[in-house]
Amino acid sequence: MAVTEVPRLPAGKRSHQTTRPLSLGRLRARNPEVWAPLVSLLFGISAVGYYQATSQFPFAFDPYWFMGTSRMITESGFVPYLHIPAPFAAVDTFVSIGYVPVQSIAPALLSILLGIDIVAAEQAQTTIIAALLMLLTYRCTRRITGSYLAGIMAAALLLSTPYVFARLNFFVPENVALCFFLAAFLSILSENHRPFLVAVLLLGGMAFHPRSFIFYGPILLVFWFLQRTPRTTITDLTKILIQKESLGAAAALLGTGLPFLEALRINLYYFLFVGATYTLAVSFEGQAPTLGQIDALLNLYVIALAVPAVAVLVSRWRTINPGMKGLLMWWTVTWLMFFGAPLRSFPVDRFAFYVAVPTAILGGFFVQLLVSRLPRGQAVRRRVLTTLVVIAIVAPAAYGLWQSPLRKPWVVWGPDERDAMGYLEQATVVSPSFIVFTPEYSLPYAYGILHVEFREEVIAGILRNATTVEDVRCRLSDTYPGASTFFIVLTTVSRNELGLLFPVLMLFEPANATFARPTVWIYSLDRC
Amino acid sequence: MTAVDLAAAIAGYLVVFFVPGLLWTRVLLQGRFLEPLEVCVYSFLVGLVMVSGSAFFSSFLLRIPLGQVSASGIFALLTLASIAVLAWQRDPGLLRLRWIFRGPGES
Repeated sequence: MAVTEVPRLPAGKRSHQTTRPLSLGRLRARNPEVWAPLVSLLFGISAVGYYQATSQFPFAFDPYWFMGTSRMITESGFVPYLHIPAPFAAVDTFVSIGYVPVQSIAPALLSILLGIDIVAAEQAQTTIIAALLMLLTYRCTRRITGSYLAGIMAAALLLSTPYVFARLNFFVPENVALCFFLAAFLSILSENHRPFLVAVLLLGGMAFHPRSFIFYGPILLVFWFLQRTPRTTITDLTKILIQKESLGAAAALLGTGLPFLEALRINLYYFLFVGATYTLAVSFEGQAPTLGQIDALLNLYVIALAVPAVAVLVSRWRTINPGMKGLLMWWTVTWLMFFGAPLRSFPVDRFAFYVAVPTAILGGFFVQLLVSRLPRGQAVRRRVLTTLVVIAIVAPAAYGLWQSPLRKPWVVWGPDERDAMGYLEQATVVSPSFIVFTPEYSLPYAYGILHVEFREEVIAGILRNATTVEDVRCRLSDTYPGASTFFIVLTTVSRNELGLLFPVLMLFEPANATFARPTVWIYSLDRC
Repeated sequence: MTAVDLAAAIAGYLVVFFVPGLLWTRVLLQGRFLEPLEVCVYSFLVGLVMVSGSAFFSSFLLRIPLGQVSASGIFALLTLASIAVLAWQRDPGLLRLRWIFRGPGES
């Protein structure tokens, strides 16, 4: 029997997966249903934990932004919601799309409660989220295909995707939001819908990254209706809603959820009417949706796994289960957005991260398909063939990950930053009033430096119209009448990439810097 | 940053977010069953949003400084206690530890 064909179920039974209570009898060491997810978990924690423990620091805008916000929360005691207040910012600054503070709350809480470093707290959260992503991918695949082998293959493929590894190391809230939305998918795929559990999970996803909900929301809705059966009617839902604990849960949800919903509203508004603020980013238009050859090959390889799986799905549409149909729709939409995204100047790695999960699930599905087609001869022979198939599929992915530059995060500032920020901290102490002006605004912010200019449109406006360094100095003096000193932080990114957008950056000579390292330069300018 | 520090931080995360999440998830499940590993996943995620939500709520809306962890913690505990009382009213045995992964009435 082909794997895609769903066996007939007894009347009233909706899923092949039975949700049984915990029983010691089920925890047999030889039961793959038990050890397969445990192996996934342990592997995920080991792989990401090892990298987190051995890496110095993640070099990118996003992690520094969230670490800076965590540091601000622990120092000031208040959670910044819509505004980063002075003196943490140059002026009281509105937080535009994407930078909601929830990602920074958990590390700040842990830092206070356990007395640990914020970086350690972020790394711990990243490690746990990576493990949960693998486990959720395993469970979703297993729930849809009914095969633990497909599940564990999907989990392995997910972690072997360079983009996933890179995005995890960015500490970005999309990582956590993806966990929440995957858990919501899993809950909807379960035997009984659990409206409030799904609601909490959706709320969590929205709280961490509202824009992700714009992407996942419609797909979850389709999933919900695809899974809907006569057993869950509006009457049933009403009965559930009027129970005491449901009302209590709803009230508590509403209380904690209101700020998150406000964040969603603001994000929707900016997404629809204002647009994402990537003023400083180099345009993605015309660029290939990959960063390196090895990653391009690897992503093509993963696509090559998924395409035949989709072909099988399409050819057997009538016999496959609703979950797989929903997955196919998800896959199609994500890839359409993935290839369409560069045309809209949107960072494509974000979509690569989104698309990695359904692709991994389909990869696992394809493995299951191949294994089920193996000759049903002797058990030993079949196991050997299965092992060979698994190695043939996972080995190239694992090799690609190992060779990929994305195994380490996108290096922006490099190892000199700590010295540079140490210098800046000392220099700003003796300066009565100062402004830190840098295209890499989150770098000093992460180190707790005050008076950082965050408004990208202001930074871009000054740099775009300036023709000389002197011109920059005078424009800064006009913009900040109360400041006596301006510290300008430039890095290799400023020179090599942002210099293409703002040529004046190329005019800052390294010889004139008050602090110079191979990757970071700091200039101190007085008023004009 | 050593592996020991990271392990301690991971353990801290699990304790702080898993325990409240376990209670919340148990209530939200309303007596339905899940696989134990799924309960663990849901517990951590639900705890993450609930504890963070409580801190967010008390700090941003009620203007209680997050630095005073006790204030945020008390708010979170009050929220947890209220939901626990609601759950206990329906089934006094609901919150027993051995029923965390089981439905009420299951032996």
